[in-house]
Amino acid sequence: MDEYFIRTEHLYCNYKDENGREAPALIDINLNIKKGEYIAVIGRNGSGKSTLAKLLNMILVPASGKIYIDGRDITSGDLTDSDILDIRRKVGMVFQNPDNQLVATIVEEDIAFGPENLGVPTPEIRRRVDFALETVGMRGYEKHEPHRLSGGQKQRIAIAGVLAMEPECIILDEATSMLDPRGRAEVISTIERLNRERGITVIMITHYMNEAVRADRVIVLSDGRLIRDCTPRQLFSDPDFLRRQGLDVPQSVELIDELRRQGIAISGVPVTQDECAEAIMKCLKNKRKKAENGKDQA
Amino acid sequence: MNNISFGQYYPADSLIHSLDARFKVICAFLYIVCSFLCKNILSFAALLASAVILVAVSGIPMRILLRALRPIIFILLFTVVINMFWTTGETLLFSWWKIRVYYEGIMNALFIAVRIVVLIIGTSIFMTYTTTPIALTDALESLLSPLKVVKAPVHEFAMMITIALRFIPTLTEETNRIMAAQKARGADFTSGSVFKRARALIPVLVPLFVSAFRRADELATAMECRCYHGGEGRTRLNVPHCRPRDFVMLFVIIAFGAGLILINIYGVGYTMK
Repeated sequence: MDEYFIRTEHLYCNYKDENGREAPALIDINLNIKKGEYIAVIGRNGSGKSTLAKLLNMILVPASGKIYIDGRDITSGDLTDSDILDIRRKVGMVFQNPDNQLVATIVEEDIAFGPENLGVPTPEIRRRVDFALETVGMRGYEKHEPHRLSGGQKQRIAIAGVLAMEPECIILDEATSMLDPRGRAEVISTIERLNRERGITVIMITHYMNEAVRADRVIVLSDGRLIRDCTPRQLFSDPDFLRRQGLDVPQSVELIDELRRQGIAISGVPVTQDECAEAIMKCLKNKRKKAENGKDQA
Repeated sequence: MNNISFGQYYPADSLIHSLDARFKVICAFLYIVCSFLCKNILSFAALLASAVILVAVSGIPMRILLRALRPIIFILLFTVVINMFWTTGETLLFSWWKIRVYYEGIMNALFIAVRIVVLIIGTSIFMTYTTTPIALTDALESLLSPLKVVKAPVHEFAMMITIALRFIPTLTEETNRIMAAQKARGADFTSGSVFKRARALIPVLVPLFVSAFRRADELATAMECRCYHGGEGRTRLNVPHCRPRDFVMLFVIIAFGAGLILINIYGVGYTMK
């Protein structure tokens, strides 16, 4: 059995540009993702993030290379229809626009859509719908109409719809980009809880560096190439690299960087907001201590 | 924008609301048949009485029901006029110039009017007013499922209706947004001739269509991601189940039809030809 849940080898994928010419969307992607990992994928528009996501649950087919999901080669071509359904069940996907992924006019019917397609028996569907709603904190909304919910709530319903298929991995393709800050926070906390408590592998494609900071690992794509695969700490300790790639630098990292440039010594590699605040506090305390010591000596 | 209601569903807690949607579709159909069975004055009276009972049982206010009749007022008037002036009979009531009105004509016009009104009220009570569109769609899918044998795309049809219903509010919202955007750039939708106003809508329709196609594409991908592969081997969260009351209702309607036939045979009074 494979120790990695997702593994790709020399993965290439092309797309047709507006002139009908084949252009590379992904070039030589080698990726290993363990079960239960929390991965952020960042990169500019057109860097191949969404293409990568769609390859992983067989919406797209690669030009060449191998993809293994849970030890199974999904590029081998001898897959039956039920194998494909099984892959899509294991690797669920949540998209950017909440309106364009909800199918039914009633919340519970929408969540049931996946299990219904999989032919799950009715009482079991009911159990899964209840459980999924509970997990995303939307209990009591069973009979609501999706179009009356807020963006964050719709996205949580979409996550519940994926959860009801009992996936092992959830890919979020910029799932927070159309939400207001509150909706974004709802979705992120839901996803993090699923990752922590249920061991679901999470692949989060995002433009928000503050979200990427919270992942176990960050993958950076640029023009179809995987150019960085490291921890957020390693990545964000190099703000110059991010700027070169045309990516945002998290505010916290930016602040520390600026302070250092002004000649203020800050120890460690603070990345998240909390760490940043702590590092600055520590720096201020040291300064005060030094000042007091200086006074004492005088 | 948030209070768009689909169709004409009127939420209430009546006997008719609680019936299985499949039975209601059948009942509506049988009720239409019943209204065409009526031939003489007694059976039309019975039909009218049955409609009144139906209204009372359904708990739908009269003013809501009258709203359903508004679109057909023209057709109603038209058929009444045609029947009144073009029916020839034996008892001439009055004639003026080329117009002749017979007793039979008046009666026929009355009968047809009753038939149309009862038809509309009956079907809307059984279907649109007491059944949610989604239940109605499921009922149609279930009732038409025998057609799958001859490869009719019954499931696909039902899925199309479901998605259409789901996207009505989304696209309405989008239309309003595009119209607002065009208004902000000086578009004028309210003045000018009908032709001019229709032309002003083109810059609204084009982006609306583009966006609808994009949505359709994204939705298709999202459905595939959720393992959609047509109706084959699909199970349902809410399986419709029939209860004794559904059969009782069905029996009542059939008995009513049989009664009408008897009245036609043995009834007295004016009989329509």
